[in-house]
Amino acid sequence: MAKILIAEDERDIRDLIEFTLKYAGHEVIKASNGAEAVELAPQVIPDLILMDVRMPRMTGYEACRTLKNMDNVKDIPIVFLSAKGQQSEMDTGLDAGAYDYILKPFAPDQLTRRIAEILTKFGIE
Amino acid sequence: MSAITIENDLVHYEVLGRGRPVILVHGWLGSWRYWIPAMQQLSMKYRTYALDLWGFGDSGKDVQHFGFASQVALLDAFMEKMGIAKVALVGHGLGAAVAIRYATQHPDRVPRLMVVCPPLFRMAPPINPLTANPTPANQLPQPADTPSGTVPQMPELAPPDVQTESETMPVKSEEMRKRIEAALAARAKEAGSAPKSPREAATPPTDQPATEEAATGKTAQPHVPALPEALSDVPVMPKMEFQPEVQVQQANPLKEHLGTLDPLALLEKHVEAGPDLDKLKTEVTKADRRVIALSVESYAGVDTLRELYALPMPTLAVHGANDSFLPPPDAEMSTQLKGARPNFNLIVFPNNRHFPMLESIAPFTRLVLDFLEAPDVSKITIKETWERRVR
Repeated sequence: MAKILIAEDERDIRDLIEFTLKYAGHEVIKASNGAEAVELAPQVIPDLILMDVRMPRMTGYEACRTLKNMDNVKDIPIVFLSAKGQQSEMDTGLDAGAYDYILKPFAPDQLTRRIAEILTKFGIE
Repeated sequence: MSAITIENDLVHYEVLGRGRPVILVHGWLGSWRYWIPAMQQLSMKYRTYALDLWGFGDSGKDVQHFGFASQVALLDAFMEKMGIAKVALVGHGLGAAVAIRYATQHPDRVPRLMVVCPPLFRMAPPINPLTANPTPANQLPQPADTPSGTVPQMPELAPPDVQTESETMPVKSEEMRKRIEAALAARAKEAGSAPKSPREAATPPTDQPATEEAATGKTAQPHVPALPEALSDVPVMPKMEFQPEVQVQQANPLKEHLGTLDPLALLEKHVEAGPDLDKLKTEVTKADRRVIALSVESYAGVDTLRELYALPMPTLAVHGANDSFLPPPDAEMSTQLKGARPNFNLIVFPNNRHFPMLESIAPFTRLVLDFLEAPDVSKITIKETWERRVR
């Protein structure tokens, strides 16, 4: 199973994602904003980064761009959590170097399935 | 993974969300894990706890704790340790019986109660809801608890209509018997084998270990449903390191109904093949092999149906229509339950067996949310479509 870094400022959603992925068999590391994710990623070298767009201290876009310029983590797939209907958010995220996005609101089992699909594409079991 | 120490042993639990507390208590076949989908949905509004009862999942496996009363005491100690003064309880199977007993003992601490597939068997002549005179909590029959202990006498203050042996024999109505046989026949058909006749199936295997009937010299007359042929050689009791010393026979319709107390045999008999069965097998394998047998043995004399009649708080009972493990109440019992008390509802999921929380995740979770919020639980119904909003 994979090591997944999640960056989400809303505690309830962060806990729900952690709970969902943990009991799907993944190891989960949590960050509460973009800056914390940028700090943690080189230390833990996750297989996947799941990141909210709007976060304090450093937005998801900024964090994504920063991570994509760091040698040891630049190839880690980043997936944004984006509010439904915000097409511009999705485009900006993809331009920043994200691999994919998952729309909010999401059902926990859908999140698990999407993550599994993405991990499979990257050859991560 | 979170854990606390109770009675010098480890109790595993998980918690998710913020808000008013809800405790989810699992049943005989599984562990806290099958509450995961419910916890995910409830966590946006409630602080949801799910714990492993003694002997199950990752909780302690001290055999001295496996009795029914110890599981009730565990729930009480868990609430104390977690600082929970009042809680909505949701229990399934064994967890439902535990929750009902806890709510009977502490009605002021349980503002709402939801019981999923509770073990409801008649222990006495049908209760007239108008004259039902519930036994006070401090006079409830105490089940045998410690495995090395003996089953206590029924207290003198037990309701007067449960005095004679014939009256204390469990009653399974013709309707309920037919429904169980139909569910098991369907299960056997899916498994590729035809069920035996009820008479053949009710014949216990010859290698059955000594039971309390044997110990007392009385002939058991179990209303055991037909077993699929493929399962007919399953031992009735798992081999245990010791057997409870039973000196007084108390009615135990649950034990008679189940027939076998072997965890995996029960699972395969009552759960449809598929992903749910695979997941549950993992959890059932994790449980101590003796815990089902000992908790069912110690359930003797416990009248969950009578306790349910008498509870004062808003209560929702949920069953799977095709549940052969703990079948839904028959029409007469349902009518009496609904008429016995206000703010009560009994809902049957039409196509479900013993795990509506896994078989009908979205409608079940919606039902739990409605139950937690409805001013009058008698008005709530199953709603098929539902979408959770995160923001």
